[in-house]
Amino acid sequence: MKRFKGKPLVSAIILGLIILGCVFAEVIMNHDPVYMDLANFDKAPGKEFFFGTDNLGRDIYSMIWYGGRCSLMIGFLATLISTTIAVVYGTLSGISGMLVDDIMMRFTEILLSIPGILLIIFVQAMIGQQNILAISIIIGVTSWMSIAKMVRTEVKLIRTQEYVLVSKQMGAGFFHVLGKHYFPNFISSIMFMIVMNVRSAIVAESTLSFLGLGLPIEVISWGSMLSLSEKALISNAWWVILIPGVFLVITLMCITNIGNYIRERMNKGESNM
Amino acid sequence: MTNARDNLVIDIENLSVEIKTETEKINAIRNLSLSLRQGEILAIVGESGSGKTMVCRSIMELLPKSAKVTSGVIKAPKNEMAMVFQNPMTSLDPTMTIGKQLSYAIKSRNKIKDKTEIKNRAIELLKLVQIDRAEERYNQYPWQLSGGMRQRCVLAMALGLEPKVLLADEPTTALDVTVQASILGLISSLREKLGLSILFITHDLGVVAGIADRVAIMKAGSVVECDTTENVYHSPKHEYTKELMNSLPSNAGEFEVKSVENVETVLQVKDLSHYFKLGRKSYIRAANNVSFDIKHGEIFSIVGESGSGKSTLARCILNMYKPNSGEIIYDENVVLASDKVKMSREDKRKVSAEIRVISQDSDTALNPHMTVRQVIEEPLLLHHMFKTKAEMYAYMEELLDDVELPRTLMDQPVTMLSGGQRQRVSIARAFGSKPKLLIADEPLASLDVTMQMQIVKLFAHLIKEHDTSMLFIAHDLSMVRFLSTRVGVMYKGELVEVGTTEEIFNNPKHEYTKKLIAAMPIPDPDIEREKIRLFKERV
Amino acid sequence: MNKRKKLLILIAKKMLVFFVSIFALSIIAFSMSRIAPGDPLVSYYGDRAERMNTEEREHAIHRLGLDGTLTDQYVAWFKGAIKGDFGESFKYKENVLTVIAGRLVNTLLLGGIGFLLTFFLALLLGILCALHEGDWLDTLLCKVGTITSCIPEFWLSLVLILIFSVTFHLLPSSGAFGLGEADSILSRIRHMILPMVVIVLSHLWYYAYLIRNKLIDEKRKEYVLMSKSMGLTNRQVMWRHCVRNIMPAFISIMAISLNHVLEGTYIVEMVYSYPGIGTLSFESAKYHDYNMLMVLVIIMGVVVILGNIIGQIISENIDHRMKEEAIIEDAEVVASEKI
Repeated sequence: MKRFKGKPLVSAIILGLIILGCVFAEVIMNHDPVYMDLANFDKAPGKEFFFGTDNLGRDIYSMIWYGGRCSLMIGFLATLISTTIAVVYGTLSGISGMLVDDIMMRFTEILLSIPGILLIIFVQAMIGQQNILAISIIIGVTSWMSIAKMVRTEVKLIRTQEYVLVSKQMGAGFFHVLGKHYFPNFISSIMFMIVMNVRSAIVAESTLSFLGLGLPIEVISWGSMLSLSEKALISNAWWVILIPGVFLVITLMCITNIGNYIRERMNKGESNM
Repeated sequence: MTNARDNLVIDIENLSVEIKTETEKINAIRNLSLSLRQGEILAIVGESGSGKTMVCRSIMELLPKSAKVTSGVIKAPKNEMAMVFQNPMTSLDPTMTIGKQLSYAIKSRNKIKDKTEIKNRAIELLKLVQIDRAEERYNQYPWQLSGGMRQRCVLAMALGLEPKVLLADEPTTALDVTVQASILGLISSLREKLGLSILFITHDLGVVAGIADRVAIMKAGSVVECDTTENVYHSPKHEYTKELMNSLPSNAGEFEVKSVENVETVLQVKDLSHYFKLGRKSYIRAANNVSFDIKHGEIFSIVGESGSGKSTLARCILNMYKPNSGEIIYDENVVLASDKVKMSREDKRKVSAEIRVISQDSDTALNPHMTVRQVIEEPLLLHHMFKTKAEMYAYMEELLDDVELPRTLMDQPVTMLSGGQRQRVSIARAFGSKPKLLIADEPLASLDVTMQMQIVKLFAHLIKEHDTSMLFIAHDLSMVRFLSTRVGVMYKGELVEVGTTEEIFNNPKHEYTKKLIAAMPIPDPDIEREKIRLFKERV
Repeated sequence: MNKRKKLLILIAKKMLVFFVSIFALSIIAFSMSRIAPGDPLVSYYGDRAERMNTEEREHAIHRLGLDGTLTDQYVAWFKGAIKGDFGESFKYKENVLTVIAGRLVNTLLLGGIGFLLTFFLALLLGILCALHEGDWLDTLLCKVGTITSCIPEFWLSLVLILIFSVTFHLLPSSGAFGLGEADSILSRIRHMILPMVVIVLSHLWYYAYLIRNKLIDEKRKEYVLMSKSMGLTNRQVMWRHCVRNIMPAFISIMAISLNHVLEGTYIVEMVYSYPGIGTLSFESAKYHDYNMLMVLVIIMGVVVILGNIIGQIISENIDHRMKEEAIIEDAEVVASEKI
């Protein structure tokens, strides 16, 4: 029991269950999520439809599991893309000379100064496609900046650490220092940001789809399900708004808890002595 | 007996304090009894983790939330105490002027309301702690003052509370030797002027020899010995006290010094200068025309206080700073650093294989993501010293034996080690590739006294065994005296005196060397008391 | 004199950085918006654009200044921009500045008040938590705070509409004021309540937590013990020393988080159909209203980059203090000479 003290066990279990449910959606679903049962639209939650139906007559219970796949997939894919860009960019900036470093950082600051959602719309307009891969790329290429800044700061910091100086003095080359000293150290300090990036990618997808700029209604995700909520407001179909949202928020909370745990563990590791 | 009890200002009986961490409970103080008599200076001496700070905090009722008094009674005059802390850099609020902070202190216990009266009192206090130009200092911020000045301000604030009892928690540890000597003199004279009773906490036996009336030695949360200063220093009774006394270099006997005549020169520093630019036209001369050489097999020490330029010198030798003029020659023909010539590839290789560094801070010297094995094998791999892994690992195990670490630590992450163990790993890494020259920049600064002695002995042994030379940079004169063949004294960027250890310590020539040696605390109450007396006469 | 000169140089440097950044931003925005596929003529001529013949099309393109290479177009735009002529909105067929002026006030009210309110509450909450560090109150606030920070803005908006507008009919669900009530302050306030709550709630904890942690770090410093040993209570130490000391950091955080809060404002404006520059930005990006978009992006850039520069100046000044400290360290020997 002691082993699990302080660890986000509950969050991990819930998140695990949600992920499992989405992966094996076919097993738990009791309706076809894409089938529009026009006879049964806007049905309140009940025996037949556990979570009710939306105004197109689709079963929300089935859609939650089926659509969760999309949302989670985009979350992970976008984070993978942004982390890769961030690590390469941040390391390059951190080891470059003053001038190049300055220009590179100025560029990220300009990008950061454009509100994220607007930047996403720009890139969205450029790519012009609305499928899972395109949305992941859009979110990925617009959300690497703060991780890159962190990587750069870490690289700069590690550069002046005694063990790097000693290693260089012992004749270590650039790649040796990079692999042995830089990577292991900054990876642990950006881990928290990576986890949080998954979170913000999921939020970005749902916001985009809600605004009608992300996935279309036919491609089911938690965001695109919520894009029907304006009609639901008129017909007072609270379940259409609340149920996908609650799933979304619970997922985000689990991820946040895990992220916070990683951050705290990291801080403790530093002040060991 | 009743009479003696009346004389006590602080009386602690059977105090136990427990600290709760997430995983365990630690008994920081166990059944401790201690008393402070009216008008005396009682010193509590102990190494880090002995619980001496906790005693102080318990008396002031400033224990952290995680700590709990589990038993015992403390009788102390709560409203007549004041405390001075270790680090003058952080014990003042950086965004408030000295004057304002002092006024708060004065207002908090006195009934004075009048503003000019408060200001007058504040300036009076600043003068009392011997701060010059007190009116000017009143309006300055802490960061505009030097460390010694700040500690005087902290003292002034404490005195602003009009205390009868002063608790001082390592008040001189963060200061340079010469500054430390003056603060000690100040504390001693304040005791006489104001009739204070003082509880003085320290880890350094030398520091309190002169001012303490009684000394209590602490270990693992309890007092193992408490007696008059003379008795503790001249005839210690408890085993631990004896061990502490023996860790002091001045009690450890002389270390056998090798003769360095007629041997080849390993390192030669010629007219080296390095300036730091401050503004457009102002410079700080961190090193100015420094020349010396290190012979094969010797331990050459450079001593100096903070800001004397000794670390700059080390960094120039290691080619981290480019000197503004002069040159450094290694092994009679390799130019390590110079304002003109650049090192060739071959020379770089030779240097990176033959010169090793041991750095000051054992916390940052090792990559926290590595195990002991990974740290030690790094230079061996870089210079392809072994053909097979098995050979290398066997050699590494011998290295651990050499630095007196158990072989079982080999695959531990370095974050699991104690400060002393890390420094040993650092030493193993340095000696592993059989260096010809070692450069150690304050390698003892972050260690406890007993640990320092062990490491120094280890150095002495390994240098002899491996037939290397060493440049030892330190501020602690007693260790330098014990270890080195020759000593150079640095002051404001200049090397003011070089000589054999004998010459420097017994017959210093330069004014500054004399001052430095005089300020060096010696763990002998008779000598130190004489020094304090002389100091008071002068002021 | 020397100090004034230094200040002037500093200001000149920062101004240069500012203008270069804005210039770079305008280039990025310009090229991004024009590379994007889609027909800007549609937003100007509507359906008519699709029925145009080649000649008419060319004429229209010329009229809107969309012919020539990208560089030519940018130069033309830049020349106009210097004179204060940012062109005509394709969608509203009016000078863009006129369209924006009408909406800017709405956003400034909503975003500005929301911003200040967020940070004011965050400071109070941070202090409260730091004072009660580790207590049940702190733990509870941390838990609740984490939950609120996980709720996406748009969904929180929806839920609030569902509760307060649809179910209880207490507050309006869209717009900045009721029909024909543009001058009624009461109507404006009623319309602003829900969006404001969303903006504050969704950002509050993030900053409160930052401030809490800064204060907790501050509490670990020795001067706190020093003050307590002089008889000050926790509360007094907190207000007199800790809060004062984190103020530079606090203002610097405020300055650099402008765009974060602005982004939230944009989304909230969209959900509540609030006529501000947020909704306008979405529209112009969606309908390729280039001239409008450029001005909106630049307004945004000015605000955010200015905030960044202010934040930088503050943290550089703190750094400066540190640097001076180091120099004093070096000069220590000089100071302690007279023993």
